[in-house]
This record gives sequence, structure tokens and C-alpha cells, in this order.
Amino acid sequence: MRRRRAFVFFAISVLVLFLCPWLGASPISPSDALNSSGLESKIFWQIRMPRVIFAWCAGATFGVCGMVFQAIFRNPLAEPSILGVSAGAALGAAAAIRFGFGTSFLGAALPVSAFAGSMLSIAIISALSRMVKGTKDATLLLAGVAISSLFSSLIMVFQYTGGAAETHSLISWTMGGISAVGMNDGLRALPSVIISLALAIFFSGELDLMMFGDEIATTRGVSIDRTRRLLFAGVSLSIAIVVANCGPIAFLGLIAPHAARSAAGYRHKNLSIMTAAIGGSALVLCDTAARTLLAPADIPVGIIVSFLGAPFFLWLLFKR
Amino acid sequence: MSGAGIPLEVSGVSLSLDGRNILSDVAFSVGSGDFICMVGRNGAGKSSIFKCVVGIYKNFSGVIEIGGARSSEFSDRNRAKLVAYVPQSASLDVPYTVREFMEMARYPWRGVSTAAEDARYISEALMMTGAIDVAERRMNTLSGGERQKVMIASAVAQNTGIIVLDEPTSYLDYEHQAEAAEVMARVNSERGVTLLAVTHDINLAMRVSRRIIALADGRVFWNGPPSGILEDGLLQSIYGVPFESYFPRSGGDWDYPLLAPVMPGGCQSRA
Repeated sequence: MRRRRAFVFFAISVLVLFLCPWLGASPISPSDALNSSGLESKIFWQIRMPRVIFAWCAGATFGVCGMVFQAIFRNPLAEPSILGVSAGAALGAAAAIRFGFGTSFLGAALPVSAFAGSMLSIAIISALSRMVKGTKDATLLLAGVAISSLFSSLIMVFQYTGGAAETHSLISWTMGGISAVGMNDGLRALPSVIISLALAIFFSGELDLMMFGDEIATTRGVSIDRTRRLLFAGVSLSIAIVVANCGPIAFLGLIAPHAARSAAGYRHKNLSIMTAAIGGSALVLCDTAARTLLAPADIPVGIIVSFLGAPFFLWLLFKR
Repeated sequence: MSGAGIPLEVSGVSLSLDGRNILSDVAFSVGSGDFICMVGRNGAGKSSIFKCVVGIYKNFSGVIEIGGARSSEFSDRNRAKLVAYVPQSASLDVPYTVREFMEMARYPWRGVSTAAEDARYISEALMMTGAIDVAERRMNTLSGGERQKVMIASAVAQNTGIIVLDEPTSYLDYEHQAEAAEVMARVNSERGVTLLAVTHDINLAMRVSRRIIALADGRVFWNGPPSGILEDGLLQSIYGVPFESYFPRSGGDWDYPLLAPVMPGGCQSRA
């Protein structure tokens, strides 16, 4: 039963990855896409394909990072947005937009500022965790909630005191949206999925044991502090790269691992791969909906993810 | 690989947690294949000294030698090849199967042991502890007695020379207490593994252990053979209440009388 479900999920993931680039405001046939001089070919290879690749990598990263956070904190509700990482990135982006340097350096200032913001929240949480030893799980999680709240209030100050145009672009960014033009943009989230997935697979044995608490993990041979620090730094960095490029997208880090467990079980080696497949294809699907539902207008993908994600998550919870 | 018992030497171990003295100059030694029970009142430091031994508490002063080598020089992984731990309470409400949980016990041997060897250790441990019947069940569906058997089985599968158990019979009914005691005795006698158990059950300590160590206020208060605990007034000094001893009506394999505390206010337990 579980194996069949795993096969179905994988088949859907692969199908989504191959089908979605063909969907969009204007239909593109395979011959158009392969004709390198045509406009359709440019749309397919320079706009749709990079966007699908970025969405898959970003979705997979959100999923895998959510899974790792859930194991580190032994809390099924842990996900990147609850730990202040997303809020830190949003604050960085908000500062760039509010103070008008978001478009400088060929538009690179905004993602760089967002990245700096998320690293700031990681630094604060890590410093707090070193100060308060012993109750690390709950402390880190609650510290993340407090930092999120603090940063959100600062973002609201920027929104309140900013002009109409700044406030509009600020709100749009915090809704989460994917825009990738050219393969360079498309591959921006590739390092994050490689880092997070490699870490999750390499430390899968440790993650399994950490689910049973620090005492069991330590006495089975896991160097718990070192492992936790490494994982936390690695997945936070991955999330920072993604959020800096597409804004905070809530829920994927929660939904993807939960859905993956129903197909791949709880062992983190298989679970990591299944979570990446589900997270990646879910964001590709949502982004395809975002760019086709009201075409030519582009709906921020964060809205679609939350709109579809919330009922799906409730269904997952109650069908148990 | 290890497997047969290894000795343990604890000398001058002191521990403070949050500015409070938990252990003061604790010293004792345990021979290969020995079975000792640690007794004492709540807060006497019984669990804490064992947590120092298994590597959960690392900031103690003094020396703990496992198999002749200083514990502080071991990595967590290398220590886990020598000492296994059965905690008093663990968060086992994770829906892994028992077999998957048992496979995790082989973590310290990853890269050293082959898959076939791992499978053999796991199946032997499941058979020895009687946990084979629940091998395919999920951890979060087990009863208290089954969980304890699985926890002991996983410590056995870890294939260490020492197993440390923190209150292995707490929360168990009489039948499961007897089963857990039998499993511990079997692991000690058949495998020769050195066993250290914290217990509040003085009758269990007398029945299964070869030596009893009593802690009081973070210090070793008494250390001797089970029969010695019957010395006049010793149990009262350890627990703060007087004890009565009773001889069971139908012999059995008991070498010692049953001990029961005399309840305060003249409310004595009825034999």
C-alpha cells in the first residue's frame, strides 16, 4: 500500500515537472519549443523552463528544511517560517524597498538584503541557544516565534511610514512570488536544494534517532550539539537563499513532509527524497496555477500555496 | 566487537547542575559481568551518576573509566560501542516500527558492522528479550511492558559490554516487573554483560543483583552484597522509614526475606 502510494507520488512529481512548462497563457507545441529562432522557443526556454526549475528547487528546499526542523525540534509544526528565518528575510527585503536601494546593483540588492536579514535572525537564534542550555528544543522554537513577531512589527512600521509605491511592492514581496528570466535565474535555488537534501540524507540516521529525544540519540552515539548546529546552519542557509529570491512561502515546509510520511514512512533517508519530490512538484503546480489562472496577470504564488495548502493540511490531519 | 562484560571504575565524581550540588566525590568500581543495583531516596543522585557514565552529563569532575580507558576521551559514538542505556522515560510516541527502532541501535557500529551482522544482532536481541512478537508493530502502539522489553532489546542489540538501566521496572505491573527482571538476569548471565540498574524496588535489587550501592545526598552511603542490606537500621538510614521483613509462605527461589516499609502513623502494610 505504502509502496504503491510512493510510486504514485513519484510518478506525479515527474509528470508535473515535464508537463508544466508546456502550460501557460499561450500554448506551445514541442516543435515550436525546439525551433530555436521562434518567440515560443524563447518563452519556453527563457521564461517557463527557468521558472519551473526554480519553483521545483525552491519547493523541494522548503519541504526538506521543514522536515529537518521538525526532527531537530521534535515538533510536527516546526517549519522555516515559524523559526524567524523567513521573517528575517522579509525584514531585509522590506528595508531594501523602504529605503529605495532594492533595485540598485542590477536588482541584486533586494535578494542580498533579504539574505542578510535571514542570516541576522539565524545569528540571534543561535546566540540565544548558546545562552540557554538544556531546554534547547522549546527555547529555540519560542525564540523563533518571538523574533518573527518582532521583525513583523518592524516590517509594518516600514509599510506604515512608506509611500504608496513602496508599500505596494513591499506587500507584494511578502506574499511570495517567483520570477525567473533566463537559466541563471532558474538555477538560483539549485544550491539550496543540493545543500539541504545532501545534509538531510547524510544525517538521516542522526535525524531518525533525534526523533526519540536527546538522551536516546546521545547514548546511541550521536554528537547531538554538533549535529544540531550543523543541520541548523545548513538548512537555514538554504532557506535564506530561497526566501531572498522568491519571498517567504508558508505552509510548504509543513505540508510536504507530512504528505511524504504517508508514502515513504518515517526513516529520513527515503523521507528526504520523497519530501523533496512532493515539495518541488507542489510549488511547480501552484506556480503554474499562479501564472495561468488570471493570465496575463501573475498571482503571487504564496497566495495559491496558502489557499490550497490549508485545506490539504486539514485533510491530512483529519484522515488519520 | 565487544559483547562480553567490561569493567567500570568511578572515582571522585562530583557534579553540579544549575548551581546545585548533585554528586559529591562518588566512587565505586564494577567488575566485568557484574550486576549492581543503585538504590536510594528520590534526589539522591542515582540517575545522575549513571547519566555521567553514559555520556548524557559531560561536565562532571573526577574520573570515569570504561574498560580501563577514560570516558572523557571517548567520542559519543565510541562510548556507545561500550555502554548502552535504557532511560526511565523516553519519547517513544514516534510511529517507527520496532524493527526500525532496533536498527537504530546499530548506529554506533555503522561502517564497521555488515548488514548481515546487524540483522543477526537485532534478531538475537529480539529473541532473547521476548520482544520478537512485537517486531513489526509501531512504537506508539506498544503497552508499557512491551516498550520496556523493546528498550532492553535495543540496548542488547547495541552489543555493548555494559548496559545501564534507569528504573527499568517503574510504571510496570507485577507481571511485567517479573518479566523485565528475568530478561535482565538472562542478559547478565547468558551474555556476561555488566549491568547497572537504578531501582526503587529493594526486593528486586536483592533478587537480581550481585551487589547493591546506596546513595544518599549525592554520596555513596553504602556498598556491599545484597545480604548486607538487612543489617539493623540500614534501610531506615537509606530511606528514612523503618522496614519490616517477611518470609514468603511458599519457598520459591528466594534467598532473602521480602522487605516492606512500615507506613508512617502506625499504618503498617499487611503481609
